[in-house]
Amino acid sequence: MRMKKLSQKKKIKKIRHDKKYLYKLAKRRGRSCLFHHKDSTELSESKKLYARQITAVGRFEGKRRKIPIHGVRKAFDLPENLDFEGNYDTSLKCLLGIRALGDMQRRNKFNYYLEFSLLKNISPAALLVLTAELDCRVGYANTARRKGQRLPADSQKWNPHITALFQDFGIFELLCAQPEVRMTYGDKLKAVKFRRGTTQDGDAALRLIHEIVEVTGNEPNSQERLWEGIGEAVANVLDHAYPHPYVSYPAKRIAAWWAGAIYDNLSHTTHFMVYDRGIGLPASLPKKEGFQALLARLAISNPTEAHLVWAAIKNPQSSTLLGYRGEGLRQMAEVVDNHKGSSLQILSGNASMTYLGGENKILKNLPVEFCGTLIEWRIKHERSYN
Amino acid sequence: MNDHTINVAADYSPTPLGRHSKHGNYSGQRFRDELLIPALNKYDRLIIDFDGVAGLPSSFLEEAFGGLVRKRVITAQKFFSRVEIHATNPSLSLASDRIFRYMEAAGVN
Repeated sequence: MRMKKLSQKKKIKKIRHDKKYLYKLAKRRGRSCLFHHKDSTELSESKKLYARQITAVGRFEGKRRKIPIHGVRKAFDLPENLDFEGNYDTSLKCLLGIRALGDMQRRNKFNYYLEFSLLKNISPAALLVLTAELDCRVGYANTARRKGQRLPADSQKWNPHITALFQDFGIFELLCAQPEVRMTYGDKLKAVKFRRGTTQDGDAALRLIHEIVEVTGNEPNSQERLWEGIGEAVANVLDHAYPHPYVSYPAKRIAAWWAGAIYDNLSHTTHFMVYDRGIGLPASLPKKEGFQALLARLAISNPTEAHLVWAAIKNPQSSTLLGYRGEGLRQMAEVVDNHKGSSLQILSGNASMTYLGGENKILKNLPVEFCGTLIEWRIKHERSYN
Repeated sequence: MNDHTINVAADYSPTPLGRHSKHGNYSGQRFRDELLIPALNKYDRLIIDFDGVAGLPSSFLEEAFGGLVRKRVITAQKFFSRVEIHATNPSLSLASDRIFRYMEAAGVN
């Protein structure tokens, strides 16, 4: 039988109709979150990125074992040390593994369990990313039945320092567990509850600053500059991190940001962090002639992604390529200029860029793409917390 | 001559942030469309008072004031002949210069 030839207009109409039908079908079956058209180039790009990451860092493997109260589950042990500075590969492997849990659970029909008892050290940045991944598992689960369901956990065998930190940071709101005793602040790191948002919420950023100042008693030199920096980081997430079309794999696209503030008592430093699971800063920078000319002016011949981020900070010019529409990055860096001894680190794509004020910077190439964009200010205080 | 003062912290928000109203309640776009343009149309002289705001993010400022030029509501020169920017907080003292810069740049682009 000869197929009837469709006009271009009808072809588009048919694709749209099929897409709508499949979407409804997938939603009924509880698969709405991972549904994309099979020919979607964005999906295949996203899958390629995930494959690259998994090839570089390995797969986060779990083992079936009996868990008290929860029965037989596939248990995933978190590593002893979660830190992007000294343990990048293992940390990324673990976080990507948690991100993929929903998809794995849907495909392989198993119940999982996250074991935190081995975890002894966690850096502030890794804590925020871990929180974001757990938050997505709980708040944006694949099915309505699982949405809002806390993750099974048992804090009895945990390191007390980790328990206290998780409690202060608000992670217990995401877990089906409670510490037996209300613990005081951790011995080294003191945190306030993390924030999440899907809008450009300046009030949330201001409350975060006020709360950590209340806990530590250490006020930033210039609260206005700090708030502007954090606010711009939050604003940039909504403006640039989740463009249309943008498909996230193996977890669905959630156009949200997470922010946290942690005080390190040993180094007298407050860490302010903003994280998103979006496209990444280097990918959102313009590829057009203007930016190439800028790189040439900075005498960067073979630019790495870290160079691109540095260039964007030194010469504000966002992905829109219109003058003064990319000053957000510059304002983020100005926080460091107003707090002596402080730094700003951006992990995004393959770039690790640390700005130390003035012309001082540390540019590194990450072995494999980071899982989003993490912006971290380390504000140094002269006096310590009592 | 009738004068009017817009106190940004009291009349709008102490934490204005962001560019477009689809992304947040206190964006530059909303400030421009709901407060700034109606006030410019109604009053001869305007004072914009930034005291009490947590800071002035560039995305908010650029969209609110640069957007006036882009939308052809007013030029930078005419704007500054009718509008006075007020900020006693030393951290916000450069607000006027920044607004002028954004408006000039919006006119060029």
